[in-house]
Amino acid sequence: MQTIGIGIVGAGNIGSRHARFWAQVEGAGVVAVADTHPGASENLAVLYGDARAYQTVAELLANPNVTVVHVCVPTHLHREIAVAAANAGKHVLCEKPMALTLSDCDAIIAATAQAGVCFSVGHVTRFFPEYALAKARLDAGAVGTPTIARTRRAGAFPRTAWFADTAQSGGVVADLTVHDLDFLQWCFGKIIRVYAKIAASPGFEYALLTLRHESGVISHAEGVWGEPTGFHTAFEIAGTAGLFTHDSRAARALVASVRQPGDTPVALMNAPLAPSDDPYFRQVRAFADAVRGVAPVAVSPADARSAVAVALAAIESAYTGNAVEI
Amino acid sequence: MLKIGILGTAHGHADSYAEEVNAHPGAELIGVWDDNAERREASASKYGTAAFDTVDALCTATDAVIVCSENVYHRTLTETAARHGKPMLCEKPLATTPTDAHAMITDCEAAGVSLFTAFPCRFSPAFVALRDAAHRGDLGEILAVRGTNRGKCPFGWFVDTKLSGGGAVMDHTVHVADLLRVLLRSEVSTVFCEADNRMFSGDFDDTGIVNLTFESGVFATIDCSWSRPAQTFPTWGDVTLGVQGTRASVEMDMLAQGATLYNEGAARIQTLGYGSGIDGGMVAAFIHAMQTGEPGDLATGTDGLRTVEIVAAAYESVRTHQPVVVKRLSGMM
Repeated sequence: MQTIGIGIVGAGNIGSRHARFWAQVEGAGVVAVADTHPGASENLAVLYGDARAYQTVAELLANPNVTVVHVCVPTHLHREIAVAAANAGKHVLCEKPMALTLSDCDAIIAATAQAGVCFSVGHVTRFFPEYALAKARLDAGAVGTPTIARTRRAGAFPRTAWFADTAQSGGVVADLTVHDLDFLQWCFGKIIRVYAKIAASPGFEYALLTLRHESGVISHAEGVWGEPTGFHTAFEIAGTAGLFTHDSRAARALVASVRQPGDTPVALMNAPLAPSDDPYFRQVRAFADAVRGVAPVAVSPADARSAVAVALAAIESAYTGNAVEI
Repeated sequence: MLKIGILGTAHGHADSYAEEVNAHPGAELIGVWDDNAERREASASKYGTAAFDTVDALCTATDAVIVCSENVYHRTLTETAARHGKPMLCEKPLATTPTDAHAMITDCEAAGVSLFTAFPCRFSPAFVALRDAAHRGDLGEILAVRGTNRGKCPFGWFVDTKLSGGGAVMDHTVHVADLLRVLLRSEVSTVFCEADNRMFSGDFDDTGIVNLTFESGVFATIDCSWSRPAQTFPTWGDVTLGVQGTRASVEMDMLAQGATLYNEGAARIQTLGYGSGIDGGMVAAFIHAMQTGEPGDLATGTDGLRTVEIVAAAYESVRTHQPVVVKRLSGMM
């Protein structure tokens, strides 16, 4: 099998995670890591045999063994790196959201299309089994015609400085709720109107979005940065013949509690999955399949751009106080 | 013994209110009236009380009345009770239009009788605890609230807009909107709403998300949809609030106190609620108000009007697809 050489750009939290799963994909391997922070690329590359460590993207792109560039840098830098990677003939998998402006999205889409390389965005929610199950059952008519849907996604306030800077991350809507916007459009089609409110205080950002799809479905998305009870997600889809619900807080296969208050918590995933079912693994394996020409990319460039468009419309709505048509 | 009559039993809540009156040591259910003779007799028999042929006859015989007719008849029944000088508790929504609600308040003021709106959720121990904590400042500054009052479609006259005045937005928005007014101690300035008929065909809305922005700047959404499956859902629905304060977040699931029953003979898994009833607290407060003149936590007519104004703005927003500034009529009571 042809070997797919992965170049990770951005050796932070998400870059390290993706590298770990790329290493498990048959016929693929991490061959290079680039990060501008001194030592960061070395620290990650050393975990993957003879992977090369660079401090510039240009060096990584010049490495002929790199066939896929996985863009794992702060969102406002996606365009620059994705376009350069495409121009260098590399396939591009980009962390979500694709970008923070539609012109950046368009530039990335144009560059990857012109280069004839595979391009997709890491809307990993589609690979989470509960969301994939919902989509499959929905398509099989499990709730009849969908009518109204709700999503909730709540987590800690980001510890990394660039996340907290709206100019770099887009804030809770563009960075977190965008997962649900992609899921909702995947299930119910294009969103045509958005009304949104966003509240912020130190260490907290909160958004409520009311959305109307072209199909007529009404949906509601809730996003929390600064959730004190820890990360969780929930959704429900109501239809003419049923209701599909999931709440990660009620679907925990493992719960560990230390006996002494204040003692170090037992590190356990509360939703453990077999390695081959892990959503991050399935995401990169799907991209490898696309690179090999076995399957189309799971998240089309147009879908990823559309999720950004809705997020930007929501932010505009929160800013102006009006509903925004897309 | 306070003599209470029920005007109209079309709304299912009449059953619960009747039961609570019957159970109260200080009051007596002396009769019911309904424009439907069959329903009138059935209700009287069910409640163990007398069926009255006319509104006037029942009003004459009572000290106070509870109005549980179809929504559109609230106004005329209120007018009649006021003419008889009888104070009343009126089922929600107080009326189907702000004009009607305002007229009811004016009539009662002119007659010197009190008018209360039936918002039993105010009497939920969970809500009372949340309200008190919020008012003590334990949550810090409240920034936003996510609310739901989802249920099964009630069908019947509820989906006949000539009698109900509207669908899910009319039926379910007002409970949570009232809780939010109490919690936030602020009035709603603008309303945005997406609503549609998507579940059950007809000229009524069955799915909706109502967005409220308060004068204080706090925002909230209310899912008022009749989105719970009729056959298989384990309860009738829910009342929830997710309150985001600068110091704490609070999740209230008002009816969460329940056990789960898997019974082989039943068509569905059932949640058997064991939480404290909320109707009893409200009926007791009404009886207490009649005896002492102290309204306690009861919602006034004006409280009812405020939520009817929100509903009217929501329906206007559904037409314009933009937020609508709430038009507020003056209300005293």
